[in-house]
Amino acid sequence: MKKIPELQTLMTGLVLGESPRWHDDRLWFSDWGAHEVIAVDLAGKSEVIVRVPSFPFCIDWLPDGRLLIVSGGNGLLLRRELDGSLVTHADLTSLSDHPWNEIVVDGRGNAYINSIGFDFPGGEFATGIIALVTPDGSTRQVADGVAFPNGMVVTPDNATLILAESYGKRLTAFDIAADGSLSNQRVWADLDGGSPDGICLDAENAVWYDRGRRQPVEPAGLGRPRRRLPRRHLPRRGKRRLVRGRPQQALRARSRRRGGAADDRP
Amino acid sequence: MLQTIDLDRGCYACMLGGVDNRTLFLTANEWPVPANMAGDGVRTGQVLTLEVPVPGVGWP
Repeated sequence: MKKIPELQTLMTGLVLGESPRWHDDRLWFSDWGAHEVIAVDLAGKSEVIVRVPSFPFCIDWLPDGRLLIVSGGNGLLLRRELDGSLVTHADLTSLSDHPWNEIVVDGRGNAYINSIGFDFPGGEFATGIIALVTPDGSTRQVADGVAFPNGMVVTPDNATLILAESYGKRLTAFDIAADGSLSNQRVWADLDGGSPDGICLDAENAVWYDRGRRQPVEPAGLGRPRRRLPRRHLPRRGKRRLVRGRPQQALRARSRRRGGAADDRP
Repeated sequence: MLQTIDLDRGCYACMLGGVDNRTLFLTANEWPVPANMAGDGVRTGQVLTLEVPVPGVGWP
């Protein structure tokens, strides 16, 4: 049995860390609470790269090294120039009035950005979309009907985009065409109740995802009863679990539970 | 499922990187964060790392 290494703490004191990315030998991420993009090296030395007055704001890079920041609240994709200034790279407001969330830039420089499709928290649920911003700056919608779109990865061959649908409780795959269009939307893995957020892919075609439980919020006053809130208001709380899974594994598990043969699915 | 990691607070996102892309980085924090999301004494957010055998690939 291989010994499992322990978790190490690289950095503390953040409000709400999101959108982690490895870039230029450092871990970059957004602190959505402090409105800072931060880079930290493996020794724990950190630097605030830029302050972003938005919520949320996920990040990725163009192939030329310039940082893209999704200014989620006002529907702008920002670009950080090499001199540190922020400019508007693309205006997404004609595609959705609702908050924009995650971004992935693939190896061809195509940027995929998703909009959750409803105001969060508190808005009436509706499905969201994925938009494409091509290297020449043109913008168009390339997918819809996704339930709270969240983290995305593109496979190394630029042929498949995998999307975490937080409310769909699944990972969803799309084929990527030469022009960046998405098609053949399909379930990559049914997470059986898990609500995935930010994800990443490894060399064995497995995805790491968060499998946290959504629990009713506990009122602040001691001794008061628990109160169940509508699902769209449920905060994530309590112990959480991170899972690494492959689609084949998830589908086989589902097949067995339904009484089918374990190997009757791909 | 191939592997799971139990945490004492919510993990919001993860990413493979580091030397040989074999470090799993996790951003984790307790919920809820305060209404203004910047108050003192409530910064429970962390960046955690775990060495893993299979390296990260793809984008981002």
